[in-house]
Amino acid sequence: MTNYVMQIMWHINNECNFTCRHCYNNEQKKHPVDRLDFQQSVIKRIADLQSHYHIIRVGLLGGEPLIDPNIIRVIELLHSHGIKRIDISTNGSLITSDLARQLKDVNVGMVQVSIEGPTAAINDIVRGNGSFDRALKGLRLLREAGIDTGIMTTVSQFNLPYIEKMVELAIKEGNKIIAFNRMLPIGRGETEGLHCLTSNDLYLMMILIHQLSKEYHGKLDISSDDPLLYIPTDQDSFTENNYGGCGAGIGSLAINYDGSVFPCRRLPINIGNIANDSLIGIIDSSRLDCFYNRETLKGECGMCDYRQICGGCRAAAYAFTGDYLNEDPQCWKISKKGGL
Amino acid sequence: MEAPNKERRGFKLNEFVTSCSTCMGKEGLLNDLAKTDESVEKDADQQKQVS
Repeated sequence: MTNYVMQIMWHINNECNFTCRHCYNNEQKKHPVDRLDFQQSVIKRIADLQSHYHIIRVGLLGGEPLIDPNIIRVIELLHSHGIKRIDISTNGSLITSDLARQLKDVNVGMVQVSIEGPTAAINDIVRGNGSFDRALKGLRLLREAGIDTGIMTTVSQFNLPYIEKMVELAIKEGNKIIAFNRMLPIGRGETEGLHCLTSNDLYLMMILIHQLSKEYHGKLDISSDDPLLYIPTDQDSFTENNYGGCGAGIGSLAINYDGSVFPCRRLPINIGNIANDSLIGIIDSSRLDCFYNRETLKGECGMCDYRQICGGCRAAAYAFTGDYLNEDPQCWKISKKGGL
Repeated sequence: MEAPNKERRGFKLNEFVTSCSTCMGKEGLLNDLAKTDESVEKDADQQKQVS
């Protein structure tokens, strides 16, 4: 065991009952597929990685993970192979009191439900008619079963104005966390009419997260998966470390439903397939060194004073420029020099 | 603000908590995790002592 940690984001399936306008997967199917045999081989690969990394948690994603006929069995098997914490990211629409009880029985860590606005009128434009009410109902059923819940919001120009209202909703509904993540121009996020944040928008989002985190400290964990969160602002700094930020391939790996492995769930650079190799084999033989070593970054990210604690979002660099080592074009420090 | 990279194979726990790897929960949640999951830090300490 090394002293390095890792989380695995595993898309256990490719089927979803929703067609959200910002989803980075635009090739999803509707009908559930039983792939338990293959999922068991994935679990074995994840378990084997524990010899080399401390696995902080496994996050189960989809598709829609709760449409998978084996979701409960997958969680049981992960636990039985030594994975302590297993979280789920879901649209929340399929949660019943019975399913919530089953998830509690198999000791799921946290269930995070995606909601894109503080009202049905706003959310349903992105996620479809009725999705807001179904998500709230799902969250309530989970909490009644004793499961910790959170909300995840993908922020575009469309819903940026509602961040504070989302925080109020999350508190009112008794959630533990809310995370705001920027939409990227990949999948349907590129084609369905929502607009990505400008760098000034993203700066505003980060300032709001800093401010709201202070204001609601102790009541709600308000955060973002964005490495730019760690660039100090005039008011705040979220880290005293000398390394952190973008975790693509460093603190996180993503496994797709077909076994292909990516550095990040939003960075579709195929670095191997667990059907052919172990995860540590993929890590050792892949191109991940360039992610560890921030000296390889290009453009403004490569020259930035904060490259070791931020590193820019490699998925954003790839989505906007086609080169994952390029500067993050949504960074406000670049906008002053002519970015987005 | 330079970090050693030549032998780096990932994030240490404290670095993980301040990274985008925490996309399903952040500060409070993972700070709690860091406190309760001391085995990682113990592993690191033991490795230092051994080496």
